[in-house]
Amino acid sequence: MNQKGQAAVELSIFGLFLMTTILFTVRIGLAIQMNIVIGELIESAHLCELQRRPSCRHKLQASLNDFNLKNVNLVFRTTNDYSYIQLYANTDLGKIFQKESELALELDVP
Amino acid sequence: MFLNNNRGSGAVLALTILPLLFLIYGTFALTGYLIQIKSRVRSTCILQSIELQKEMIGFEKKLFQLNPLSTTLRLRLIAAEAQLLTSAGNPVAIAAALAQIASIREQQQVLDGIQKTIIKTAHFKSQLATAAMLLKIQMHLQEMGSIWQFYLTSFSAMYVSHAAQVAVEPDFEDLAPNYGLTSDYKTAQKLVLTWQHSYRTKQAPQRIIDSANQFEFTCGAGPNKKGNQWSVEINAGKF
Repeated sequence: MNQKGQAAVELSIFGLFLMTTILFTVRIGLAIQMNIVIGELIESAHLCELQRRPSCRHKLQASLNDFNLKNVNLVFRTTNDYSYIQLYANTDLGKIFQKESELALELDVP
Repeated sequence: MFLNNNRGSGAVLALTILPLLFLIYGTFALTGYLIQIKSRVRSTCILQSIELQKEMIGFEKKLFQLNPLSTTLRLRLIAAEAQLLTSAGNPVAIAAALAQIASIREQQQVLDGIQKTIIKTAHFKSQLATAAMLLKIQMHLQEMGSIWQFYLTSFSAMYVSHAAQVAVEPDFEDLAPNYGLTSDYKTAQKLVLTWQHSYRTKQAPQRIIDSANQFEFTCGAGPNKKGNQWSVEINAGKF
């Protein structure tokens, strides 16, 4: 009986440990994934800005909406051959997501 | 009995969760693969195209810098020919005018040679830079392919859908003309690369995640001239 109880406790502890580990690693994985995907979206927005295409900012904002980000604040600074984007938002878990990115391509030929 | 059942539950739990975990991580990894390969090809393509365009613009600038010289030679030739016409009956003046014309034609020939060499060099450099770019991208693809060789079968087709041409034209067909940009120079000189990529998970990983995808991208760069200011315009088409 003791052994049975011990096994049940062990299983519960093991299960809890396993679930916590899984949840933790999945969350880390998701965070990394989100970072990579948002980085890619921002890089595409840089290129879009440097090509002087219309509605680059709107497109980026719309794509970011798919990530359940709240209070999204985007700062754009673009010149002929330089693009700077800053993203500041809150995740649905209440954490702050901040990303700064710049791209300088030296497009002017002296 | 309970003990055995509990052990079994642990095993069942692990067997249920592990494939799920592999599936989640497999999806993460595949997204990472896709973004990384796309980003590498795109950045190489854009940076190399910009360098190529800058090089070509440099050659064109050199070519256009010779225009004042070609105009001067042309004006001198017209003057010498007019002198020849007005020197009828004066053998000394005729000889002087003819010598002058011969000297100018010789200078024009030299200048014409220089102009054509610049154009040919620009053309050759363009082909060389394009080949170097394709090679570099191919190396990135091979590198990525070797990292993922146990999980993915990938196929890439890459071709230059528009080769960068030296978009200049002479103002008249003769020795040492003035050169200018063609009216469609933006289209003619731009370099466009098309890249098609497809992948599928190999048989063993397919038991956990079966994923196949294919996509096509274009990228490149072209020239832009506003007044005396040259710049390069990037073209990251469908990336």
